[in-house]
Amino acid sequence: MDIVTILTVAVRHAGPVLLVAMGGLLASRVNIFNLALEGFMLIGAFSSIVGAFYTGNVWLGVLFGVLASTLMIIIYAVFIIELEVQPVVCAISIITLASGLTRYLLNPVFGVSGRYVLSSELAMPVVHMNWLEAIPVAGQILNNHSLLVYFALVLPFVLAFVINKTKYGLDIRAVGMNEEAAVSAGIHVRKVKYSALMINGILCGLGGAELALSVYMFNVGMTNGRGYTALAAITLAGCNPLLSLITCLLFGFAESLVVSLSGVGFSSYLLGMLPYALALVAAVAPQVARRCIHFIKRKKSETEMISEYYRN
Amino acid sequence: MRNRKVINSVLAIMIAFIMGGLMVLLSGDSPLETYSVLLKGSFGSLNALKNTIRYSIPVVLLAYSFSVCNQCGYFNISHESQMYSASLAIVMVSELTQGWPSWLRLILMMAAACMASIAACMIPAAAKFGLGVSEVVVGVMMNYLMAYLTKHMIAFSFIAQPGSSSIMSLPVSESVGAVSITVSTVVIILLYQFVMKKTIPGYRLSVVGRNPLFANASGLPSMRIMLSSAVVGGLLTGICAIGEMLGYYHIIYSDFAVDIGFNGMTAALLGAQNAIGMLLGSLLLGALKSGSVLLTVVTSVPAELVDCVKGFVMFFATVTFIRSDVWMRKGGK
Repeated sequence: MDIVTILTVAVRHAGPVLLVAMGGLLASRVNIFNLALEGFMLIGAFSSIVGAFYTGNVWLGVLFGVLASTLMIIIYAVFIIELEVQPVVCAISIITLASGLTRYLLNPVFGVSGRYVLSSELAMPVVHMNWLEAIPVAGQILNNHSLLVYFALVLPFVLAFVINKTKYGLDIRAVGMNEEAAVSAGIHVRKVKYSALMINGILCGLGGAELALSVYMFNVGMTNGRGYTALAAITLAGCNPLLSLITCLLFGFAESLVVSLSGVGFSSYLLGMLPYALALVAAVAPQVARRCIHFIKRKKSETEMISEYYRN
Repeated sequence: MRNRKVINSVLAIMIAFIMGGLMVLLSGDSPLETYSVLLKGSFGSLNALKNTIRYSIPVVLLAYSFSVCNQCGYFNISHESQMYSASLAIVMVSELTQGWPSWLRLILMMAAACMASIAACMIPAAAKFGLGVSEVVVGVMMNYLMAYLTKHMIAFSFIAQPGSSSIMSLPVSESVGAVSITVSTVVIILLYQFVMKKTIPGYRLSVVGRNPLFANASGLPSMRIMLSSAVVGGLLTGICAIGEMLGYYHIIYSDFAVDIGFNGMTAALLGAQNAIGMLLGSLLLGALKSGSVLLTVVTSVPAELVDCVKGFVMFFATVTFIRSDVWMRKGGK
């Protein structure tokens, strides 16, 4: 149980959360607080296992997961954009539906209830890079992950570039800041929203696929709140892609601590609370900090005003 | 307006059942047979009917709890954590008051359960109204945290049952009869309706719910009223937990509240937050639950079908199929 192992596992755990978080970030950049990430991720995880089972190929499984999750998010988008359903209500119902569907479909598809384990040949392959071995610690931590984890680690940089430097990113930022102004500037708001949500769906599918296929099994409620955790991570990072990378790695670290410390004899139930407690703090902390800063600023300006008054 | 809501809910249920039927058909069973078994298992005999009512009662209470909070703009989805904390409080009080007179213990247990549930309900509400954090994220995190804390308590603390194969708490010896639970639920619902429709606090609550800014401007303490709606929501969940723990379970099992979690919200949405609608919505969910027992016995269709149908019901209940604005224009003034 050395620190290098813990950090390696942390990167592996951070992968799926990072993918989903980046999707949620894009959605919240166009003013859609996508609470249903959890549901899309669950659908992605289940469908990727189904796809891998029927085709016998991991990557076709991933494709299947992405397609299912994207299809689901298109329905979600139509519901909240066209039919004007309350987003929170729609999100919760998507999560309930995803959990019910996966719970039920597990029986007719695989003939089992609760969990299904694929044969280990269908595990997500890991990439071994020889040149990384030369670097002492970081090389070890970053080596031997699946392709999707590497993609997840690069993604925040790509998104930061797309959002800040491209025309599409400008459109996204404009829609997020002020929809009416964006309309008057000739931006197709609906198109931007749909496309951002589609990318969100693809990323959720990838996140779910990585989660399920890296351990080549699906069990009911496998996402276990990771969708909400991802939301908490982007809330803490203030929707900045690069800061989100750090917060997601932090969550990965918490999860890997749970895995490694419970082997040493700590109560696994109390340890299990750690990621959720961290997410709770992450969701609340920015607001508390904002209040504190606001309060201090006001006090400061008040004292300045008073001293100014007496000086005159 | 009311007619449209009724049609909406009925449409949602019908589409949900059709989708569920398609699922059954795709997996190679007969949907008609499945649904007739479900119906028989929920309303076919006196015993089945009793079971349906037994499973509907907690859903009704949770639906009201959701509805009262939702009126003030607080999306109360931490029912699970409230149930866990209330039942933990019940078992703890029961352990600490061994040998006391029975009536005193019952009162103490109920009070503790309500207090614990209200406390759990207030945390997301405080985060929402005090800090402006999304109460859904906080509430869901609370659900996971309380589930783990409960597991820890029933595995390693003074309320853990030693020597059992799976983790569970020590049993509570006091109990409440099924009849008194049913009667008190009916009384609570009537009381709630009376308070909401005919008294000043109820009126204030609905004013704040309609428009908090207006309520603030006309001098109502809207923050205090919003928080008190969360207190009422927590209280109703606490009562639900009392009924479940002292009426049926008597022991805390791991994950016993997971099934209940979102049911209250589904029933409230289905009933369009209207008194009779919510009752019927809860009855539907209770019937699904009690029918699922027979389903696994008689047919090869797994009981998880019920989860699936529940998901579809909730999903379609969110949509307004008949758009009010379109009707307004056509009915035209």
